[in-house]
Amino acid sequence: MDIELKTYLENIEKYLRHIDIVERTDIIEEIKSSIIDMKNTENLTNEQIINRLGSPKELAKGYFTENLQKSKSVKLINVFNIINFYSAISLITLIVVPTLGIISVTFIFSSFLTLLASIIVIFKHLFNLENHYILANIGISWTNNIFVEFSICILASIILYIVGKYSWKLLIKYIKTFIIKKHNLQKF
Amino acid sequence: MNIEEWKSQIKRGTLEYCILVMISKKSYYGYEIIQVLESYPVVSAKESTIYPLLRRLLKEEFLTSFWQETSEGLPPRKYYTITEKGKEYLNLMNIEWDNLSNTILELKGE
Repeated sequence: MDIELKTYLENIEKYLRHIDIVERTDIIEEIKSSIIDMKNTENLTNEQIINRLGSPKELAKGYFTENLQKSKSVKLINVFNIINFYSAISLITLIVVPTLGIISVTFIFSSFLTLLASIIVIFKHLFNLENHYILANIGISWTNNIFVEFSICILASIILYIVGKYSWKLLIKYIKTFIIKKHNLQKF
Repeated sequence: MNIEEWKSQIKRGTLEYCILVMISKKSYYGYEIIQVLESYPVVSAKESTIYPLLRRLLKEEFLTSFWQETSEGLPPRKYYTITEKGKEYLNLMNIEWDNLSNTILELKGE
């Protein structure tokens, strides 16, 4: 076996130095035997052999983490990803989710109430009940013009509904984004 | 493309099974296993996957190994044989595999 391959094997052995000598020798002998086989049976060049086996580090790593399952190696970048994820999700949970949640539900509810108010306003004027002890409080006090009153109520209802609906959509979008991110994190 | 990811998941999940099936029929050495699997692209894998896998099966006592001299002055080869425990494990895998195939067939038949 030539120098290049001998060096390659030595490099692999370096990465395996924490394994006990018996097992380490066994691993190296097996790789050596397969290199010889590759040379004889397939006539591969040194470069092809090294490409196929992989870098000494990668090859040695395979024996530790047994790469058949999901990679269990804890890479630094993955740790950062997790820190980022949980920091962001705490922020989201503390601020954005409650705000959006409350806005969306109450605004939509309010929009229906306002719609109801506008109908009552019409009703009030039709039946001359402006001074009814309950109904007097519904509607707008600073104008007596029925049309203005009605339009403003309808407008308020529409605006509340739009804002509420949009907040809801944003909320769902945020939640989905973080479910996807969390799912991606599970892969490591 | 997602299909590649799925394919590699399948391969990862079944490689152990394929190897045990092979070794249950006769003793193989590592390189030989790789050669045989090479002719089946769905399960072909490289040394860096197969050798650690064989080592793990050895440690789990599903396989035993012996070194055999080769005549032409080449380094000896490490052969793997299946153990009783390995045969039992293989039986369980066979059952599960049949379960899976049948389930899929049934689902397809719907």
